[in-house]
Amino acid sequence: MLESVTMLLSGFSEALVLKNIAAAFAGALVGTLAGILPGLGISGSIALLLPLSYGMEPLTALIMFSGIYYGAMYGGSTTSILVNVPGEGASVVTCLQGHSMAKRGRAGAALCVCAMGSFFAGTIGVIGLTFFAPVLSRWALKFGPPEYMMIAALGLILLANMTGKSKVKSYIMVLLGMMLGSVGMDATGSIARYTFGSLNLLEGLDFIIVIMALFGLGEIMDTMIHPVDTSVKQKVRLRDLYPNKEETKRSVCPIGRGTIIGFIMGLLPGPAMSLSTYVSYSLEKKLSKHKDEWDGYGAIEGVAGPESANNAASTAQMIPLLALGLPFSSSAALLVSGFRIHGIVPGPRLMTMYPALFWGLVASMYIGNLICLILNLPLVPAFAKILKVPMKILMPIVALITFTGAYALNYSIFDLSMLVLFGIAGWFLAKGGFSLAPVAIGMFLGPQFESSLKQSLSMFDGNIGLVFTRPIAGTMAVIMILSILWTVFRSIQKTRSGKEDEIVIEAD
Amino acid sequence: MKKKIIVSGTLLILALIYTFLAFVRMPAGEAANPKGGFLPRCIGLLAIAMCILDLLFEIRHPDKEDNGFDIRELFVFAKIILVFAGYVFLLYLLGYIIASIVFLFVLFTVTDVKPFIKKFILSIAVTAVFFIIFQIILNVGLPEGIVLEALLY
Repeated sequence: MLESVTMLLSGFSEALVLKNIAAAFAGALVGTLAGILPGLGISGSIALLLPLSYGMEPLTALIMFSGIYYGAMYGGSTTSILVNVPGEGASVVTCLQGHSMAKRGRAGAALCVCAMGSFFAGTIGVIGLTFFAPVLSRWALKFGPPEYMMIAALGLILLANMTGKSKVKSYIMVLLGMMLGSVGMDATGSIARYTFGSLNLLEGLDFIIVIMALFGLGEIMDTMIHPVDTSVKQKVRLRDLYPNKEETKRSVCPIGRGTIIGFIMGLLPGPAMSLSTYVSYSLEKKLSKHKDEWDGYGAIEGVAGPESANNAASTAQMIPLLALGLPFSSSAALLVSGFRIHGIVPGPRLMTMYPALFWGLVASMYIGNLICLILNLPLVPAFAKILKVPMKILMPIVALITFTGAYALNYSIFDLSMLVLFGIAGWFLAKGGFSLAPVAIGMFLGPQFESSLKQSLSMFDGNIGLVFTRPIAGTMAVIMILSILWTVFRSIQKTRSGKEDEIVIEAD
Repeated sequence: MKKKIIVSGTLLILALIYTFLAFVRMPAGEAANPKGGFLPRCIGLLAIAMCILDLLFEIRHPDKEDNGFDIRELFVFAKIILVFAGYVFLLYLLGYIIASIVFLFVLFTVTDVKPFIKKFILSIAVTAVFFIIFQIILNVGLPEGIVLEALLY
């Protein structure tokens, strides 16, 4: 523990360099803006903004990416509260009580509680990252291919189980992602798969391009076809940005509970950011002493808990990402891609190979959270003005950013044609009731799963059952099998009773 | 026809093609030494099974709110796709500046931004801002277009 503190202090010496503070500020600002804009989501926003990091040093670029990542979590609540349109999936729940509060003139208080809760949860999450990530990293050094194979498989199964309305549709999307991930030369480099003679496809489909298309372009098209009214009806003034004594008192415990829920869920594979908000919301509703306020009046607990939960979850997701190199959400997968652009591979060796970079990044998150708080309190009225720009003007501009950013990734016109193709696919899939986040996870984890599966099969001489002889991999295999059996059991039950899932978890 | 049935059916066709190619063109190897076709075959077969399940479910329990694609929606969608595809072609042909101005102007027309002068100024101003950010500040080599390249070099 003492070693972590010492390393963190050295990390602060890196993070407090002017250019890195500027990067954290820029990331937090851009992320907050992206979170405010409905439709794009965190994944789409990070994908669009990756090209901005060209020419930066790796640490500076990573600090900016992380800033975008948690900045978007802060910004998402603004649109939810002011216009009842969630900026990203994890803010859906915030609409319920947040917008009701806004309608009775307490938008400022709701926004302030969101920002305070997000800051507290984000900071607790980073403290957790400081102490847990090194332990998990050391532990992960003992992992072999079977363990990595099972983590990837478990991540895919759990994500599919918890996302969207239909489990079957989610599984199809995971498989579609894995199919897309299989394009190009196979892991051993012996055969070209699904390239149809195109040299551009030999290295596979670019993950970032596919994500930009599915999450960015698909949403842009949909917003252009079905314009959303995001005009701000509530005027937010600086002097209104303070919750009263009672609101503050009622927010403290939900923020604490939301933080714990979010942090624990963020460590598990699955759509933790969205899921934790639902869990926190249900818990606060159950525990509330003001149950009459939950039906249209606007209960502050229903804003404080979920917003803290999604921020804690997003920060906690950095722990498996940095320590194991495994992203458990599409936005985390995008972050890994951002790391890779700069030649950094997250995983157990990151801390030993690049200690300055790792601890500089962790330290920057403390600073970034503070920046997000500073940005989100006094600048909320300014951010709200962005929502006054009509979508019919904003969306074509975002489309141009998408195309420019996509071109800048590889300087390839071919990538742009892929962007259009997958944009069309994304729009159609969304119309068909399919959730797109499992595609991203399938595409990212699929190749990792394939290479560790091949290595494991070679290790076990073809007998995959030997995975149960290894404690960690075996335990994960048992959890995975139980999870599949539970899904099948629940599906049969629901089919017999003719009921569908009560809530739809928006994927992260 | 319902949107969900059309999309699920299309996915089933794609899964069938994917699996067919995996079986026909890629060696699977042995269990102890799997080759490039091993996982695609497994994924493909699983995907076919899942797509059939999904399609059957959609046919047996149709979504009452799903009224199929409406013509107006598809028409706007087709227009946007044409603009996107046209932009990629123009980018290759005429380069970033001209293609982007035309792209934005046409998209503003599709989204019904008025008046003409506002669309025109916005298209030029936004393109100029992005050109400065990407080409001058970030030093990204934006495409010059084959026409300009032919004239210059």
